[in-house]
Amino acid sequence: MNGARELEHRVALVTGAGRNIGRAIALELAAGGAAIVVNVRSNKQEAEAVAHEIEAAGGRALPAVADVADPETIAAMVAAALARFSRLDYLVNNAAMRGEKRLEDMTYAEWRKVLDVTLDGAFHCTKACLPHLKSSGAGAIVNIGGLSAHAGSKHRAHVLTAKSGLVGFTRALAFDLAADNVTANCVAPGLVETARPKDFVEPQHHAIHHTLSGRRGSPQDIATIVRFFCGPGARFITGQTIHASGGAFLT
Amino acid sequence: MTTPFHLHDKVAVITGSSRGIGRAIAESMAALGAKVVISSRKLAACEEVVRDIEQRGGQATAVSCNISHKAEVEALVHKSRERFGAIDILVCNAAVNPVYGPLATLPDDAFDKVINANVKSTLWLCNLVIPEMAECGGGAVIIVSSIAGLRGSDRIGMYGISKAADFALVRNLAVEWGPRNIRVNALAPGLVKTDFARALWENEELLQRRNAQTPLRRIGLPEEIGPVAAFLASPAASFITGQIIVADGGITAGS
Repeated sequence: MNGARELEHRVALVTGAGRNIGRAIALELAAGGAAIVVNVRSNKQEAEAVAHEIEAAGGRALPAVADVADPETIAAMVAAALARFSRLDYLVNNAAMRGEKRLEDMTYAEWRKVLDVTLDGAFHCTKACLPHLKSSGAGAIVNIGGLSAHAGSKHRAHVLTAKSGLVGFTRALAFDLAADNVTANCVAPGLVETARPKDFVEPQHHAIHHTLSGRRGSPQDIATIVRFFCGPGARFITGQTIHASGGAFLT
Repeated sequence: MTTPFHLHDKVAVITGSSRGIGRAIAESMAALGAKVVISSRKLAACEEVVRDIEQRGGQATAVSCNISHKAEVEALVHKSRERFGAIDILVCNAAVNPVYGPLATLPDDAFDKVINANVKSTLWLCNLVIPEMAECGGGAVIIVSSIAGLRGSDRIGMYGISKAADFALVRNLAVEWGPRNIRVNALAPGLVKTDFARALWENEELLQRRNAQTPLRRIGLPEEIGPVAAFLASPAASFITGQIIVADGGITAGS
Protein backbone atom coordinates (compact mmCIF):
# COMPACT_ATOMS: atom_id res chain seq x y z
CA MET A 1 0.00 0.00 0.00
CA ASN A 2 1.12 3.54 -0.70
CA GLY A 3 1.15 5.14 2.71
CA ALA A 4 2.32 8.54 3.76
CA ARG A 5 6.04 7.64 3.69
CA GLU A 6 6.09 4.51 1.59
CA LEU A 7 9.59 5.24 0.19
CA GLU A 8 11.23 5.63 3.61
CA HIS A 9 14.87 4.40 3.72
CA ARG A 10 15.00 4.23 -0.09
CA VAL A 11 17.29 6.28 -2.32
CA ALA A 12 16.41 7.70 -5.74
CA LEU A 13 18.58 9.23 -8.45
CA VAL A 14 16.68 11.67 -10.66
CA THR A 15 18.46 13.01 -13.73
CA GLY A 16 17.69 16.48 -15.03
CA ALA A 17 16.15 17.34 -11.67
CA GLY A 18 16.98 21.05 -11.59
CA ARG A 19 13.59 22.22 -12.80
CA ASN A 20 10.19 21.37 -14.22
CA ILE A 21 9.21 17.69 -14.36
CA GLY A 22 12.55 16.43 -13.00
CA ARG A 23 12.38 18.81 -10.05
CA ALA A 24 8.77 17.83 -9.32
CA ILE A 25 9.78 14.15 -9.37
CA ALA A 26 12.65 14.79 -6.94
CA LEU A 27 10.34 16.66 -4.55
CA GLU A 28 7.58 14.06 -4.83
CA LEU A 29 9.84 11.06 -4.16
CA ALA A 30 11.31 12.98 -1.23
CA ALA A 31 7.77 13.57 0.08
CA GLY A 32 7.37 9.79 -0.04
CA GLY A 33 10.40 9.48 2.24
CA ALA A 34 13.21 8.69 -0.22
CA ALA A 35 16.62 10.36 -0.13
CA ILE A 36 17.26 12.04 -3.47
CA VAL A 37 20.31 12.46 -5.68
CA VAL A 38 19.41 15.67 -7.52
CA ASN A 39 21.26 15.50 -10.82
CA VAL A 40 21.75 18.45 -13.17
CA ARG A 41 24.03 18.76 -16.17
CA SER A 42 25.60 22.12 -15.35
CA ASN A 43 23.48 24.48 -13.26
CA LYS A 44 24.74 23.68 -9.77
CA GLN A 45 22.61 26.41 -8.19
CA GLU A 46 19.42 24.78 -9.43
CA ALA A 47 20.45 21.41 -7.98
CA GLU A 48 21.31 23.01 -4.66
CA ALA A 49 18.02 24.88 -4.58
CA VAL A 50 16.07 21.64 -5.07
CA ALA A 51 18.23 19.85 -2.46
CA HIS A 52 17.64 22.70 0.01
CA GLU A 53 13.92 22.53 -0.60
CA ILE A 54 13.95 18.80 0.18
CA GLU A 55 16.08 19.27 3.29
CA ALA A 56 13.93 22.16 4.50
CA ALA A 57 10.97 19.76 4.43
CA GLY A 58 12.94 17.28 6.58
CA GLY A 59 14.25 15.09 3.76
CA ARG A 60 17.70 14.05 2.60
CA ALA A 61 19.23 15.16 -0.70
CA LEU A 62 22.52 15.34 -2.53
CA PRO A 63 22.98 17.83 -5.38
CA ALA A 64 25.06 16.25 -8.14
CA VAL A 65 26.43 17.89 -11.27
CA ALA A 66 27.03 15.30 -14.00
CA ASP A 67 26.39 15.06 -17.72
CA VAL A 68 24.32 11.95 -18.49
CA ALA A 69 26.05 11.80 -21.89
CA ASP A 70 29.40 11.37 -20.15
CA PRO A 71 29.81 7.93 -18.48
CA GLU A 72 32.77 9.11 -16.39
CA THR A 73 30.91 11.92 -14.63
CA ILE A 74 27.95 9.57 -14.14
CA ALA A 75 30.18 6.96 -12.48
CA ALA A 76 31.55 9.63 -10.17
CA MET A 77 28.03 10.79 -9.29
CA VAL A 78 26.87 7.25 -8.49
CA ALA A 79 29.97 6.71 -6.33
CA ALA A 80 29.23 9.93 -4.44
CA ALA A 81 25.61 8.87 -3.99
CA LEU A 82 26.69 5.51 -2.56
CA ALA A 83 29.21 7.15 -0.27
CA ARG A 84 26.51 9.43 1.08
CA PHE A 85 23.44 7.17 1.21
CA SER A 86 24.93 3.62 1.06
CA ARG A 87 22.29 2.38 -1.37
CA LEU A 88 20.36 3.17 -4.52
CA ASP A 89 16.84 1.85 -5.15
CA TYR A 90 15.37 3.95 -7.94
CA LEU A 91 16.66 5.55 -11.12
CA VAL A 92 14.54 8.10 -12.96
CA ASN A 93 15.91 8.78 -16.43
CA ASN A 94 14.40 12.20 -17.00
CA ALA A 95 17.25 14.24 -18.52
CA ALA A 96 16.48 15.00 -22.16
CA MET A 97 17.16 17.39 -25.00
CA ARG A 98 14.31 18.91 -26.95
CA GLY A 99 14.06 21.38 -29.78
CA GLU A 100 12.47 21.55 -33.18
CA LYS A 101 14.28 21.57 -36.49
CA ARG A 102 13.20 20.84 -40.02
CA LEU A 103 14.68 17.54 -41.18
CA GLU A 104 16.26 19.36 -44.13
CA ASP A 105 18.13 21.65 -41.74
CA MET A 106 19.00 19.09 -39.06
CA THR A 107 22.72 18.35 -38.93
CA TYR A 108 24.10 15.01 -37.85
CA ALA A 109 25.67 16.75 -34.86
CA GLU A 110 22.26 18.02 -33.74
CA TRP A 111 20.71 14.57 -34.23
CA ARG A 112 23.57 12.97 -32.26
CA LYS A 113 23.37 15.48 -29.43
CA VAL A 114 19.71 14.66 -28.69
CA LEU A 115 20.30 10.90 -28.89
CA ASP A 116 23.45 11.20 -26.77
CA VAL A 117 21.56 12.81 -23.92
CA THR A 118 18.09 11.31 -24.08
CA LEU A 119 18.81 7.74 -25.12
CA ASP A 120 22.51 7.08 -24.50
CA GLY A 121 22.23 9.03 -21.25
CA ALA A 122 19.60 6.59 -20.00
CA PHE A 123 21.89 3.72 -20.97
CA HIS A 124 24.91 5.17 -19.14
CA CYS A 125 22.91 5.96 -16.00
CA THR A 126 21.26 2.55 -15.97
CA LYS A 127 24.59 0.76 -16.35
CA ALA A 128 26.18 2.82 -13.60
CA CYS A 129 23.29 2.25 -11.18
CA LEU A 130 22.63 -1.38 -12.08
CA PRO A 131 24.57 -3.25 -9.38
CA HIS A 132 22.96 -1.08 -6.70
CA LEU A 133 19.43 -1.35 -8.11
CA LYS A 134 19.86 -5.13 -8.19
CA SER A 135 20.83 -5.31 -4.54
CA SER A 136 17.88 -3.10 -3.56
CA GLY A 137 15.46 -6.04 -3.48
CA ALA A 138 12.71 -3.78 -4.83
CA GLY A 139 14.42 -1.62 -7.43
CA ALA A 140 12.69 0.51 -10.04
CA ILE A 141 13.74 2.32 -13.17
CA VAL A 142 11.37 4.93 -14.55
CA ASN A 143 12.12 6.40 -17.96
CA ILE A 144 10.43 9.63 -18.96
CA GLY A 145 9.22 9.33 -22.53
CA GLY A 146 7.05 11.74 -24.47
CA LEU A 147 3.74 12.10 -26.23
CA SER A 148 5.27 13.00 -29.60
CA ALA A 149 7.08 9.68 -29.82
CA HIS A 150 3.67 7.99 -29.96
CA ALA A 151 1.43 10.55 -31.61
CA GLY A 152 4.07 11.90 -34.01
CA SER A 153 4.83 15.53 -34.85
CA LYS A 154 6.81 17.60 -37.31
CA HIS A 155 10.40 18.80 -37.02
CA ARG A 156 11.38 16.55 -34.13
CA ALA A 157 12.95 13.52 -35.80
CA HIS A 158 15.75 13.44 -33.22
CA VAL A 159 13.47 13.81 -30.20
CA LEU A 160 10.87 11.30 -31.46
CA THR A 161 13.56 8.75 -32.28
CA ALA A 162 15.25 9.10 -28.90
CA LYS A 163 12.01 8.95 -26.92
CA SER A 164 10.77 5.97 -28.96
CA GLY A 165 14.08 4.31 -28.17
CA LEU A 166 13.36 4.75 -24.47
CA VAL A 167 10.14 2.74 -24.87
CA GLY A 168 12.10 -0.18 -26.34
CA PHE A 169 14.81 0.25 -23.72
CA THR A 170 12.12 0.04 -21.04
CA ARG A 171 10.84 -3.29 -22.39
CA ALA A 172 14.35 -4.67 -22.65
CA LEU A 173 15.11 -3.67 -19.06
CA ALA A 174 11.89 -5.31 -17.86
CA PHE A 175 13.13 -8.63 -19.20
CA ASP A 176 16.79 -8.26 -18.28
CA LEU A 177 16.20 -7.12 -14.70
CA ALA A 178 13.08 -9.02 -13.66
CA ALA A 179 15.04 -11.83 -12.04
CA ASP A 180 16.58 -9.24 -9.70
CA ASN A 181 13.16 -7.78 -8.89
CA VAL A 182 13.92 -4.47 -10.60
CA THR A 183 10.91 -3.11 -12.50
CA ALA A 184 11.25 -0.82 -15.52
CA ASN A 185 8.48 1.44 -16.75
CA CYS A 186 8.06 4.53 -18.85
CA VAL A 187 5.87 7.58 -18.24
CA ALA A 188 4.99 9.49 -21.40
CA PRO A 189 3.92 13.04 -20.54
CA GLY A 190 2.19 15.33 -22.97
CA LEU A 191 1.36 19.05 -22.82
CA VAL A 192 2.77 19.84 -19.41
CA GLU A 193 2.96 23.43 -18.21
CA THR A 194 6.64 24.04 -17.50
CA ALA A 195 8.89 27.02 -16.87
CA ARG A 196 10.51 28.12 -20.14
CA PRO A 197 13.19 30.61 -21.04
CA LYS A 198 11.99 34.19 -21.66
CA ASP A 199 12.59 33.96 -25.40
CA PHE A 200 10.68 30.68 -25.62
CA VAL A 201 8.62 30.28 -28.76
CA GLU A 202 5.69 27.89 -28.42
CA PRO A 203 6.71 24.90 -30.58
CA GLN A 204 4.40 23.62 -33.33
CA HIS A 205 3.97 20.24 -31.67
CA HIS A 206 2.11 21.90 -28.80
CA ALA A 207 -0.46 23.20 -31.24
CA ILE A 208 -1.30 19.84 -32.81
CA HIS A 209 -2.08 17.94 -29.59
CA HIS A 210 -5.18 18.52 -27.45
CA THR A 211 -6.07 17.26 -24.00
CA LEU A 212 -9.66 16.13 -23.48
CA SER A 213 -10.26 18.56 -20.65
CA GLY A 214 -8.53 21.46 -22.37
CA ARG A 215 -6.27 21.71 -19.33
CA ARG A 216 -2.52 21.21 -19.54
CA GLY A 217 -0.83 18.97 -17.03
CA SER A 218 1.46 20.16 -14.26
CA PRO A 219 4.90 18.70 -13.44
CA GLN A 220 3.23 17.37 -10.29
CA ASP A 221 0.80 15.35 -12.42
CA ILE A 222 3.78 13.44 -13.80
CA ALA A 223 5.74 13.22 -10.56
CA THR A 224 3.00 11.42 -8.65
CA ILE A 225 2.94 8.68 -11.29
CA VAL A 226 6.69 8.19 -10.93
CA ARG A 227 6.22 7.95 -7.17
CA PHE A 228 3.59 5.26 -7.69
CA PHE A 229 5.92 3.27 -9.96
CA CYS A 230 8.69 3.40 -7.35
CA GLY A 231 6.42 2.44 -4.47
CA PRO A 232 5.08 -0.85 -3.15
CA GLY A 233 1.78 -0.56 -5.04
CA ALA A 234 3.33 -1.15 -8.47
CA ARG A 235 5.55 -4.20 -7.99
CA PHE A 236 3.62 -6.29 -10.54
CA ILE A 237 3.88 -3.61 -13.24
CA THR A 238 6.92 -3.81 -15.48
CA GLY A 239 7.79 -3.05 -19.10
CA GLN A 240 4.86 -0.61 -19.44
CA THR A 241 4.48 2.83 -20.91
CA ILE A 242 1.89 4.96 -19.15
CA HIS A 243 0.57 8.01 -20.94
CA ALA A 244 -0.06 11.09 -18.84
CA SER A 245 -1.35 13.51 -21.42
CA GLY A 246 -4.92 14.26 -20.36
CA GLY A 247 -6.12 11.87 -23.05
CA ALA A 248 -4.25 13.64 -25.86
CA PHE A 249 -3.14 10.18 -26.97
CA LEU A 250 -5.32 7.11 -26.45
CA THR A 251 -3.50 3.80 -26.56
CA MET B 1 0.06 13.59 6.16
CA THR B 2 -1.75 13.93 2.86
CA THR B 3 -0.25 11.99 -0.01
CA PRO B 4 -1.16 12.17 -3.69
CA PHE B 5 -2.68 8.70 -3.26
CA HIS B 6 -5.28 9.75 -0.70
CA LEU B 7 -8.98 9.06 -1.26
CA HIS B 8 -10.34 10.75 1.87
CA ASP B 9 -14.14 10.66 2.01
CA LYS B 10 -14.45 9.67 -1.63
CA VAL B 11 -17.32 7.31 -2.34
CA ALA B 12 -16.25 4.31 -4.38
CA VAL B 13 -18.57 1.69 -5.85
CA ILE B 14 -16.79 -1.53 -6.77
CA THR B 15 -18.69 -4.33 -8.47
CA GLY B 16 -17.65 -7.92 -7.87
CA SER B 17 -15.86 -6.94 -4.68
CA SER B 18 -16.62 -9.81 -2.32
CA ARG B 19 -13.59 -11.76 -3.55
CA GLY B 20 -10.39 -11.63 -5.56
CA ILE B 21 -9.32 -8.51 -7.39
CA GLY B 22 -12.50 -6.56 -6.60
CA ARG B 23 -12.07 -7.19 -2.90
CA ALA B 24 -8.41 -6.18 -3.04
CA ILE B 25 -9.39 -2.95 -4.82
CA ALA B 26 -12.00 -2.20 -2.16
CA GLU B 27 -9.49 -2.87 0.62
CA SER B 28 -6.85 -0.66 -0.99
CA MET B 29 -9.30 2.19 -1.47
CA ALA B 30 -10.74 1.86 2.03
CA ALA B 31 -7.24 1.94 3.51
CA LEU B 32 -6.66 5.23 1.69
CA GLY B 33 -9.78 6.77 3.20
CA ALA B 34 -12.53 5.98 0.70
CA LYS B 35 -16.04 4.92 1.68
CA VAL B 36 -16.47 1.75 -0.34
CA VAL B 37 -19.59 -0.01 -1.56
CA ILE B 38 -18.99 -3.76 -1.63
CA SER B 39 -21.11 -5.53 -4.17
CA SER B 40 -21.60 -9.00 -5.59
CA ARG B 41 -24.44 -11.42 -6.12
CA LYS B 42 -24.20 -12.77 -2.57
CA LEU B 43 -25.00 -10.28 0.15
CA ALA B 44 -23.57 -12.39 2.97
CA ALA B 45 -20.19 -12.55 1.28
CA CYS B 46 -20.25 -8.76 0.84
CA GLU B 47 -21.17 -8.20 4.48
CA GLU B 48 -18.17 -10.26 5.54
CA VAL B 49 -15.86 -7.97 3.55
CA VAL B 50 -17.58 -4.93 5.07
CA ARG B 51 -16.95 -6.26 8.59
CA ASP B 52 -13.33 -6.91 7.73
CA ILE B 53 -12.82 -3.38 6.41
CA GLU B 54 -14.64 -1.85 9.39
CA GLN B 55 -12.47 -3.80 11.80
CA ARG B 56 -9.46 -2.14 10.23
CA GLY B 57 -11.01 1.28 10.72
CA GLY B 58 -12.42 1.72 7.24
CA GLN B 59 -15.90 2.63 6.02
CA ALA B 60 -17.89 0.22 3.88
CA THR B 61 -21.39 -0.92 3.07
CA ALA B 62 -22.76 -3.99 1.29
CA VAL B 63 -25.22 -4.03 -1.60
CA SER B 64 -26.02 -7.19 -3.51
CA CYS B 65 -26.16 -6.90 -7.28
CA ASN B 66 -26.25 -9.26 -10.23
CA ILE B 67 -24.73 -7.05 -12.92
CA SER B 68 -26.63 -8.94 -15.65
CA HIS B 69 -29.93 -7.44 -14.48
CA LYS B 70 -30.48 -3.77 -15.20
CA ALA B 71 -32.89 -3.27 -12.31
CA GLU B 72 -30.28 -4.58 -9.89
CA VAL B 73 -27.60 -2.31 -11.36
CA GLU B 74 -29.94 0.67 -10.95
CA ALA B 75 -30.66 -0.39 -7.38
CA LEU B 76 -26.93 -0.64 -6.65
CA VAL B 77 -26.38 2.96 -7.76
CA HIS B 78 -29.47 4.16 -5.90
CA LYS B 79 -28.58 2.43 -2.61
CA SER B 80 -24.95 3.54 -2.81
CA ARG B 81 -26.03 7.19 -3.09
CA GLU B 82 -28.58 6.74 -0.33
CA ARG B 83 -25.96 5.43 2.10
CA PHE B 84 -22.83 7.41 1.23
CA GLY B 85 -23.94 10.26 -1.06
CA ALA B 86 -22.67 11.12 -4.53
CA ILE B 87 -20.35 8.57 -6.15
CA ASP B 88 -16.81 9.80 -6.88
CA ILE B 89 -15.20 6.57 -8.03
CA LEU B 90 -16.72 3.77 -10.06
CA VAL B 91 -14.89 0.48 -10.49
CA CYS B 92 -16.51 -1.85 -13.00
CA ASN B 93 -14.87 -5.08 -11.99
CA ALA B 94 -17.54 -7.78 -12.02
CA ALA B 95 -17.38 -10.02 -15.05
CA VAL B 96 -18.27 -13.52 -16.11
CA ASN B 97 -16.27 -16.15 -17.93
CA PRO B 98 -18.59 -19.14 -18.34
CA VAL B 99 -16.88 -20.77 -21.32
CA TYR B 100 -13.50 -22.37 -21.84
CA GLY B 101 -12.82 -23.59 -25.35
CA PRO B 102 -12.59 -22.59 -28.99
CA LEU B 103 -14.74 -19.90 -30.61
CA ALA B 104 -15.54 -22.43 -33.33
CA THR B 105 -18.12 -24.16 -31.14
CA LEU B 106 -19.28 -21.18 -29.09
CA PRO B 107 -23.07 -21.25 -28.58
CA ASP B 108 -24.98 -18.03 -29.30
CA ASP B 109 -26.36 -17.83 -25.80
CA ALA B 110 -22.84 -17.95 -24.32
CA PHE B 111 -21.83 -15.07 -26.60
CA ASP B 112 -24.83 -13.04 -25.50
CA LYS B 113 -24.32 -13.82 -21.84
CA VAL B 114 -20.68 -12.69 -21.87
CA ILE B 115 -21.35 -9.53 -23.87
CA ASN B 116 -24.32 -8.59 -21.71
CA ALA B 117 -22.57 -9.14 -18.39
CA ASN B 118 -19.12 -7.85 -19.32
CA VAL B 119 -19.85 -5.03 -21.75
CA LYS B 120 -23.45 -3.89 -21.77
CA SER B 121 -23.70 -3.92 -18.00
CA THR B 122 -20.55 -1.82 -17.69
CA LEU B 123 -22.07 0.78 -19.96
CA TRP B 124 -25.28 0.75 -17.88
CA LEU B 125 -23.28 1.48 -14.77
CA CYS B 126 -21.24 4.21 -16.42
CA ASN B 127 -24.33 5.91 -17.79
CA LEU B 128 -26.05 5.72 -14.43
CA VAL B 129 -23.10 7.16 -12.50
CA ILE B 130 -21.03 9.46 -14.73
CA PRO B 131 -23.59 12.25 -15.37
CA GLU B 132 -23.90 12.87 -11.64
CA MET B 133 -20.12 12.77 -11.25
CA ALA B 134 -19.94 15.48 -13.90
CA GLU B 135 -22.52 17.58 -12.06
CA CYS B 136 -20.38 17.29 -8.94
CA GLY B 137 -17.25 18.51 -10.75
CA GLY B 138 -15.58 15.26 -11.80
CA GLY B 139 -14.70 11.71 -10.93
CA ALA B 140 -12.78 8.61 -11.88
CA VAL B 141 -13.97 5.46 -13.59
CA ILE B 142 -11.87 2.31 -13.70
CA ILE B 143 -12.88 -0.61 -15.85
CA VAL B 144 -11.12 -3.79 -14.85
CA SER B 145 -10.29 -5.49 -18.11
CA SER B 146 -7.61 -8.12 -18.75
CA ILE B 147 -4.59 -8.77 -20.92
CA ALA B 148 -6.88 -11.38 -22.48
CA GLY B 149 -8.25 -8.37 -24.40
CA LEU B 150 -4.78 -7.63 -25.78
CA ARG B 151 -3.83 -11.11 -26.94
CA GLY B 152 -5.31 -14.15 -28.62
CA SER B 153 -6.14 -17.36 -26.79
CA ASP B 154 -7.39 -20.81 -27.78
CA ARG B 155 -9.28 -21.20 -24.51
CA ILE B 156 -10.79 -17.91 -23.38
CA GLY B 157 -11.47 -16.23 -26.70
CA MET B 158 -14.96 -15.02 -25.87
CA TYR B 159 -13.79 -13.54 -22.62
CA GLY B 160 -10.98 -11.82 -24.56
CA ILE B 161 -13.46 -10.31 -27.00
CA SER B 162 -15.46 -8.83 -24.14
CA LYS B 163 -12.30 -7.51 -22.47
CA ALA B 164 -11.11 -5.90 -25.71
CA ALA B 165 -14.46 -4.11 -25.80
CA ASP B 166 -13.55 -2.57 -22.43
CA PHE B 167 -10.64 -0.77 -24.08
CA ALA B 168 -12.87 0.83 -26.70
CA LEU B 169 -15.39 1.69 -24.01
CA VAL B 170 -12.70 3.43 -21.99
CA ARG B 171 -11.41 5.46 -24.92
CA ASN B 172 -14.86 6.56 -25.98
CA LEU B 173 -16.02 7.46 -22.48
CA ALA B 174 -12.74 9.33 -21.90
CA VAL B 175 -13.40 11.42 -24.99
CA GLU B 176 -17.07 11.92 -24.16
CA TRP B 177 -16.53 12.95 -20.55
CA GLY B 178 -12.99 14.40 -20.48
CA PRO B 179 -14.33 17.95 -20.86
CA ARG B 180 -16.35 17.41 -17.66
CA ASN B 181 -13.29 16.29 -15.68
CA ILE B 182 -14.13 12.60 -15.64
CA ARG B 183 -11.14 10.31 -16.10
CA VAL B 184 -11.83 6.85 -17.50
CA ASN B 185 -9.12 4.19 -17.59
CA ALA B 186 -8.83 0.45 -18.04
CA LEU B 187 -6.78 -1.75 -15.77
CA ALA B 188 -5.56 -4.90 -17.48
CA PRO B 189 -4.21 -7.51 -15.07
CA GLY B 190 -2.38 -10.60 -16.22
CA LEU B 191 -3.01 -13.95 -14.60
CA VAL B 192 -3.81 -13.37 -10.93
CA LYS B 193 -4.33 -15.97 -8.24
CA THR B 194 -8.10 -15.64 -7.80
CA ASP B 195 -10.99 -18.10 -7.74
CA PHE B 196 -12.15 -16.51 -10.99
CA ALA B 197 -9.00 -17.64 -12.82
CA ARG B 198 -8.56 -20.88 -10.92
CA ALA B 199 -8.83 -23.03 -14.07
CA LEU B 200 -5.80 -21.21 -15.46
CA TRP B 201 -3.42 -21.49 -12.52
CA GLU B 202 -4.51 -24.67 -10.75
CA ASN B 203 -3.01 -26.88 -13.43
CA GLU B 204 0.63 -27.19 -12.37
CA GLU B 205 1.92 -27.70 -15.91
CA LEU B 206 0.09 -24.61 -17.22
CA LEU B 207 1.30 -22.59 -14.27
CA GLN B 208 4.93 -23.51 -14.82
CA ARG B 209 4.74 -22.63 -18.50
CA ARG B 210 3.08 -19.34 -17.60
CA ASN B 211 5.73 -18.47 -15.04
CA ALA B 212 8.47 -19.22 -17.54
CA GLN B 213 6.91 -16.80 -20.05
CA THR B 214 6.53 -14.01 -17.50
CA PRO B 215 9.53 -11.74 -16.85
CA LEU B 216 8.79 -11.63 -13.12
CA ARG B 217 8.53 -15.46 -13.24
CA ARG B 218 5.28 -15.63 -11.30
CA ILE B 219 1.57 -14.88 -11.52
CA GLY B 220 0.09 -11.94 -9.63
CA LEU B 221 -1.74 -11.67 -6.35
CA PRO B 222 -4.98 -9.69 -5.86
CA GLU B 223 -3.19 -7.37 -3.43
CA GLU B 224 -0.85 -6.38 -6.28
CA ILE B 225 -3.79 -5.17 -8.38
CA GLY B 226 -5.76 -3.32 -5.68
CA PRO B 227 -3.22 -0.51 -5.24
CA VAL B 228 -3.03 0.05 -9.00
CA ALA B 229 -6.77 0.71 -9.17
CA ALA B 230 -6.52 2.94 -6.09
CA PHE B 231 -3.72 4.87 -7.81
CA LEU B 232 -5.84 5.39 -10.93
CA ALA B 233 -8.67 6.75 -8.77
CA SER B 234 -6.40 9.10 -6.82
CA PRO B 235 -5.06 12.63 -7.44
CA ALA B 236 -1.73 10.97 -8.29
CA ALA B 237 -3.23 9.95 -11.64
CA SER B 238 -4.92 13.30 -12.33
CA PHE B 239 -3.53 13.61 -15.87
CA ILE B 240 -4.14 10.01 -16.94
CA THR B 241 -7.28 9.28 -18.94
CA GLY B 242 -8.32 6.97 -21.77
CA GLN B 243 -5.44 4.61 -21.04
CA ILE B 244 -4.92 0.91 -20.52
CA ILE B 245 -2.72 0.21 -17.52
CA VAL B 246 -1.24 -3.28 -17.67
CA ALA B 247 -0.19 -5.10 -14.48
CA ASP B 248 0.96 -8.50 -15.63
CA GLY B 249 4.51 -9.13 -14.43
CA GLY B 250 5.69 -8.07 -17.89
CA ILE B 251 4.24 -10.93 -19.95
CA THR B 252 2.79 -8.68 -22.67
CA ALA B 253 5.91 -6.51 -22.84
CA GLY B 254 7.50 -9.35 -24.75
CA SER B 255 4.79 -9.78 -27.37
